Amino acid sequence: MHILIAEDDTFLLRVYSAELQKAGYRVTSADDGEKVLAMAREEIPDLILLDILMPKKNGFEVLEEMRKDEKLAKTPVIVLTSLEREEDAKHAKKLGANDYFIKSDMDLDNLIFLIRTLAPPAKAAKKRHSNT
Amino acid sequence: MTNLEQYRGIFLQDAAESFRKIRAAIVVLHKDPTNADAIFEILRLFHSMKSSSAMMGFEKISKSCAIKEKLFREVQSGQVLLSKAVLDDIAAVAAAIEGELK
Repeated sequence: MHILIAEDDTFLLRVYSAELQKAGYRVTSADDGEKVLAMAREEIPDLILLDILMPKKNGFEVLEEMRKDEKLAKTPVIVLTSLEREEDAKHAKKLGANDYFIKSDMDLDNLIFLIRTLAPPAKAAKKRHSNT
Repeated sequence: MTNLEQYRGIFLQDAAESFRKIRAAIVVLHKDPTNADAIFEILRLFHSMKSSSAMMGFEKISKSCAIKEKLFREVQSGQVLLSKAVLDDIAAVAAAIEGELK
C-alpha cells in the first residue's frame, strides 16, 4: 500500500508520513510539483495526497497533467491544502480530484480513515497481484 | 486519537527555520521590493505556518500568518506595493510570533 505525499511543508510532511506509516502504509514524498509527477510516473502510487501551493508546479497543474496521463488518470487524489476559497475546491474537483480538504479542518484520524476508504489494503494487494 | 504533542519539538524546530527564511527574504526585498522569488517564499512560508500552527493548536499564530499570507497574495498580484514600512511590519510580526513560540 503506497501513498505519495506531495507537500513542501517539512513539518506537515513529517507528521503525515509518520502517522501513515503507523497506519501501515508505505510512504514516499515530494516537495515540488515536478518531483511529484516524476515520482508518480516512475512508480504509480495507490493514492496521492496533494498540496496545492508548491514550488515549480502547483497542485492544480500536477492534477491536470496526471489526468491526461493514462497511467495516472485513475489514481485517487486527495487534495489537502490551506486554500480556503470555494472556487479552488471547485477547480480541483473539475480537474479530477477525488476529494478536497482544508488542512485546518481535517484532523489526522479522519484523514487516515478517508485514505483507507479510497485505498483499501485489499485493493492494493489485488493491484500488485495483477501486475505480476 | 493522534497525540500531536509528540510533534511539538519538530514543529518548533521547523518554525525557527521558517522564520530564518522569512528574515532572509525580507533582506532581499529591502534591496529589491519586486523580487518575485522572495515574495513567493514569504507567501509560501506564512501559508505553511498557518496550517502547521493550526494543527498544533496555536490558533492566534495561525490567524496572524493568514493575515500576512493574504497581504503577500496582494503583493504578488500587484495590488499592494511593498514599502519599507510594510517590510518592517512583516519583520516585527515574524519576530513576535517567533517570540511566542519560544
